[in-house]
Amino acid sequence: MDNLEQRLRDDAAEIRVDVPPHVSARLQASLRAARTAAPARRQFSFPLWLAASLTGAAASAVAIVAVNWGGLAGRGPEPAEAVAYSVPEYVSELERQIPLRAKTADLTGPLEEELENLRSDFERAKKNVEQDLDFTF
Amino acid sequence: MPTDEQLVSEALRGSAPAFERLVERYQVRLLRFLITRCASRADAEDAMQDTFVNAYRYLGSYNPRWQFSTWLYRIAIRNAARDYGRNATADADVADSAPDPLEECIDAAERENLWLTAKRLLSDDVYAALWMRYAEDMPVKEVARALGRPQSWTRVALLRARRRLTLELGKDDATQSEGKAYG
Repeated sequence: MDNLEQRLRDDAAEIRVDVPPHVSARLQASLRAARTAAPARRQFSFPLWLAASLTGAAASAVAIVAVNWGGLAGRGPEPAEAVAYSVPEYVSELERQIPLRAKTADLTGPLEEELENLRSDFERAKKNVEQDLDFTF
Repeated sequence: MPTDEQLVSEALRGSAPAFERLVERYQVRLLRFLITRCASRADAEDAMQDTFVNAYRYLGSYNPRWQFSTWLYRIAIRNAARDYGRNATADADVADSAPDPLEECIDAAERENLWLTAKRLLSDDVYAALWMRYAEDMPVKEVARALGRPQSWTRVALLRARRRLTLELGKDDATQSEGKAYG
């Protein structure tokens, strides 16, 4: 133990503290109050815990039975109906709201133009053939 | 003489006198510690009362792996911090004028009590570490546990606190020597 440690210990011993009687009495009264409260807490803690567990188990059982009741009784909806039920009503509104405007002109325009060219080529070829035929016959 | 742990076991089985013996064993030590941490003696007494009541209420959560004193000091530190925080803003003006409760417990002497110097120089946690280590002789591991700090932090804090106090003592000694030299 060095000098500083010894001085710290000596100086700590110089700090003189006593617990006044009124503080002791107050402390004892607080502890008595805590003692009376503690058994009450112990008495109620177990039944409350048990009651909460039982209530939870009962609620789970009721929920399981309620969910499976239709299947057990054989009154469940047909598969098609079930699918129909599973489609929300607002889907039709969604369909209406979504702008599904495909630009057909942009997509088919070149083909139509090509078709037009083919037709004119065909007409021209037809005229040539007719002229040839006229020449021939 | 029964150990703290034996008394705790008896108290847990419902023995009120066993807990009263623990209170008797620790009340002065705890009040002495709390006086160094609280703004007034009344606050320290309140904190001591709360500490014992909380210890009694939560005795079931005490882990015998640690010393009972460590657990008690841990509760006391929390109570003192809470009370100090609550009263600091309300009594800020009063606290300035009120005397230090630690000073009131120390007889007037030629030199300043080293714990008063420590209180002036060190932060609350470092001061508490120093107190538990040297005034209460608690091992570093238990001090760290009581403060809720790592052992490494506690060791460094103790080392720095000792260095700071040694420097301060050196200054005091030099001043006293100068005083004596100049008559």
